[in-house]
Amino acid sequence: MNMLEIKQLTKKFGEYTAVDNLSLSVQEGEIFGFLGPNGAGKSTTIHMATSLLSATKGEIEIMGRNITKHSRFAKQAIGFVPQDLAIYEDMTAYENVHFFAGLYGLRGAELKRSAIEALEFVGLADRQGSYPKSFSGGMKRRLNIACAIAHRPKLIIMDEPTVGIDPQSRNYILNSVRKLNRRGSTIIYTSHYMEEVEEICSQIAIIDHGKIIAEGTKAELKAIITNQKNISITVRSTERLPMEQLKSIVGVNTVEAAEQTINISSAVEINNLNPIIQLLVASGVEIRGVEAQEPSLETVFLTLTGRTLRDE
Amino acid sequence: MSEPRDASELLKIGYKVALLVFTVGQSLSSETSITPWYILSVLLYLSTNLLFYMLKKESFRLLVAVLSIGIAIAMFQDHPLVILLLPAHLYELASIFVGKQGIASSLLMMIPLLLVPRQLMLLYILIAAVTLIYFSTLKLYDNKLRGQHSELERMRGDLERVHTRLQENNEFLRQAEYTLKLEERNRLSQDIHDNIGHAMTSALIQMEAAKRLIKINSDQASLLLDNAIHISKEGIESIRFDLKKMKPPTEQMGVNRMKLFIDEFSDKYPIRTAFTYEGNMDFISPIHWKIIQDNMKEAFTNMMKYAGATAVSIHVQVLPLLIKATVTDNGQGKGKIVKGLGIIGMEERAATVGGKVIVDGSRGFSVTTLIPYTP
Amino acid sequence: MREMIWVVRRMALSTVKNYKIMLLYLCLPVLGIALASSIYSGSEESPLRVGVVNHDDGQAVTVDMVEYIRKLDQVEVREVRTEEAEGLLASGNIDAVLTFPKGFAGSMLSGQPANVGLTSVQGSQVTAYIKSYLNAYIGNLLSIGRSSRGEQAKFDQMYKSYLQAESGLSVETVEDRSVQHQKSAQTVGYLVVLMLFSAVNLSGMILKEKENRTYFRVFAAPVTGRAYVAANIIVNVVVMLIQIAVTLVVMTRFFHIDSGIPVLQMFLLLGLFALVAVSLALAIIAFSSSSMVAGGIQTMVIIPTCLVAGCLFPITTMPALMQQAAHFLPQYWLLDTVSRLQQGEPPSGVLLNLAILLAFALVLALTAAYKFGRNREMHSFI
Repeated sequence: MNMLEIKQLTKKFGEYTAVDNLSLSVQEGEIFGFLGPNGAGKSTTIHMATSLLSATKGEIEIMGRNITKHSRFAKQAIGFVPQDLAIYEDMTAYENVHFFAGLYGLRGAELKRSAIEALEFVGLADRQGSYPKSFSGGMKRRLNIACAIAHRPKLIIMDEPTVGIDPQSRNYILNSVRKLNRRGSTIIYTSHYMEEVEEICSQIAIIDHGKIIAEGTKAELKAIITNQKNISITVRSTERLPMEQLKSIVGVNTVEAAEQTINISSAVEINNLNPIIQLLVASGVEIRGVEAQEPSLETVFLTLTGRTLRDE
Repeated sequence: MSEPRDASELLKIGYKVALLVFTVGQSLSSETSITPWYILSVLLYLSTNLLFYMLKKESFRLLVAVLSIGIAIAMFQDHPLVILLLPAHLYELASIFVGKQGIASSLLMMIPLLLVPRQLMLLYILIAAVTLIYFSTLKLYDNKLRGQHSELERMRGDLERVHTRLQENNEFLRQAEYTLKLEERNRLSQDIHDNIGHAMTSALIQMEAAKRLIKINSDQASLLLDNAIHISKEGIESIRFDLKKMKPPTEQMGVNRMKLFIDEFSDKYPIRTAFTYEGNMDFISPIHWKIIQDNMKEAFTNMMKYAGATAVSIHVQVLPLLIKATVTDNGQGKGKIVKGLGIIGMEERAATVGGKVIVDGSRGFSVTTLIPYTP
Repeated sequence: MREMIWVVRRMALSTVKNYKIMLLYLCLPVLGIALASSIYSGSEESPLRVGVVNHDDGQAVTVDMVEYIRKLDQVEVREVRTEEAEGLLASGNIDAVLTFPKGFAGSMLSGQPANVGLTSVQGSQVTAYIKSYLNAYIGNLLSIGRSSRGEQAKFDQMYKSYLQAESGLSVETVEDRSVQHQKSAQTVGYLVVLMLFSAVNLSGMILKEKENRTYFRVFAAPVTGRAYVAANIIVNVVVMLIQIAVTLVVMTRFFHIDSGIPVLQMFLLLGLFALVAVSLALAIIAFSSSSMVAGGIQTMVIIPTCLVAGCLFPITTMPALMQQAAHFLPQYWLLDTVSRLQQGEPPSGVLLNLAILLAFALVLALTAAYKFGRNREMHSFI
């Protein structure tokens, strides 16, 4: 089933087109990455999917139901982690989660349990009585997530949940995203950090200037710009190199041998590192290091648009 | 679409407020005229007016319009000036009932004249006339805006249709060109057959004759051979000529054509150009070339419009699954790009083969056309 | 509905937690009472000094009348000569000059009163006070004069019995109440200002939440704009009702000020005004793009209107045009209702005033709703 289906969505602010005839669908169980530079239209799209903005044109469906016609259903199904921190500074961590979960209809013991559980999930259970102003940026981000997941939504939409935080909190959040996905939630993850998207997302859409310019799995996206990957193996010596046998391994195109390195160019979609290494070991070549160079999503974006994801 | 209507609604409200302020202001000067009932009536009058603009249902609107008029009439006894508020309401009332309001509303506006005291008569007529003109002008302007809007929509539709027809015509032209090529080939083979075939045959015959004669009459034989040589020469000349005709001019080829156009451009304008390409250009089909070239021309036009560029680079790259063509200038660029017809045209061109166009103004102005293909 | 109650809960929690603001909401009215009572207790202590110029010397009626004024609470009387009267008045040694024309006593008998002159440098307040007593007194004399049909003996007899009855009356209690009334009316005036300010501040919570982004987050949950605004109104009204209750309790229990109106009536009346305050607050919020702007509009609207309507100073000190304009302000009608009830008008007599207050609430609420409705795009509100 399609968890989220966007059909020819357009949003104009005056004359400016922020989202331009955009279509995409997110399957149940995916971690869907929405990758693009700042101002590409990610947040605008997300805001339309969460009913915070009305679309100029187009249609959005959550689990097959139109979100304007079934507003309550759609809102109930979504847990939204906004890009800007949306927590009340004058309420404790627990009160924040308690309030937001309550908005989705949870009450009484169930509400309390869910709130505590959500705080535990993001690792803030021991700080539940503290006020957000005593929190670090990463902790606030985690609290922001806890507020969105306590009601156990089917679809969690995270809009840049890792902006401006330390690496440790970032790892924590990325792990939480995986855990949430395993728990059964479909996740839409918006980011302009390609490493994050590359690390956790099963399906990725690259968006720029309000348009999706490429979509697919990591491998599919990379295949757009290149079909070669480079495997560079450092060895003690290349004397006993079984050249012909190496070339006959599936996917291998060219093999170049220098004194202590072997450069193999291979088809990107085939994982043949194991047979290559096994062959070398069997032939008595002493391996000192292996490096497989694949293009990153950053390279994909750079190649397609001529710009980097982050304007440094 | 809602914007012009909002604007004209605000103008109407502003007009009514001005009238109300005028009548109320008059009452301020006399000590006795402000009674609690008067204040209550003014407040209720305000409420019904606000409701009139908030309600959607015609019947409710009618009800509150009538209520407004009723309140105004109730106030009339002590505050005759209030009668000046009526024309606006009568006009709005008429607009709910009938489509063409001019005559109907001017007639309706005359009814209160029966009530109006003599000294206010002229003022009332003035206000009624001003109201009629003001509201009709508003309506006119409103309708015009709406008309223009739908006209714009229609024109956009037309443009699209014309565009597709152009596409079809181009397709037809390509077909015609192909048939022309076939015919040309036919003609060539005919030519080869006619000219060279004949020449070779007659040269052959003369050479055969010379071979037989060479021992009997060597003079005669050498004459024949001379003749054969001459004919052969002519034949070769003719082959050269035909081959020259057969070979298409190089500038018709994709990359060369691009180069030609870019050179022409840099000759005309003081802008440096650079054209680079990578990947296997053979994957680019003529249709793709056409789109790339048209988009490039459009990008050049755009670039000339948003001045400030002194150099432009064109890069065509064939990736495993995509063809990417980028035109980048070194001008000021533009933060938020408002799509004009030029950009929309490029997008539509690319969309015919499932491609996308990205226009970016963050570092100079760049137009990237991405076209998918199957190798 | 469930969501609305939940939002109410949160807003109430936030309001209560912000104890500084809460203290402000509750302490300022108390300060207002203290201020009001200090202003009017000042007027209690300094007596009104009246100079009497008597051109009708020796007549019993005139002398009795001067005595009567002398006996009034807070009044000091001294006899002055015509020539010195003006000088004394100008130098501030006396507050008012009362001039009895020659033959004043006789005019009473004939039933055609000669004019008694009353001059003062201060506002009409001083003279009004004395004037009201004089008018009553002269009125009584006149009716005696008329019923005696010009017969001196009959007049004297009736006059004597009138004097006896008059001396039995206690003037002081009436006088005391009037100061109490002024104190309480002033307290209500201050309370009105505070209510308006706190209403805008509480509704400003909507703008603040918009600015700190929680507003949008709430709407990503199944909460409608209507429920959200309704929740804000509820919290707002409740806070104001508490404010009113505290003010009334402190005023009657601690300051022992008797407003002359039953406490419950006063509470309901002010409660009605709370609706006006909330509507005004919503209208202000609807026209503001940020809490900064709202703060500006708030000050620009509330202070001048309260001034004109007579919340801060008695309306009688305003120029006539302002007094007329005050009729178009809700505060005026609240204060008017209070003073009417204090003057003993039954609640049924002020129904029209109450209707006007309701109408003000309606107009302001509709204005807010209209503007909210137009703001719909760009998800500003509702």
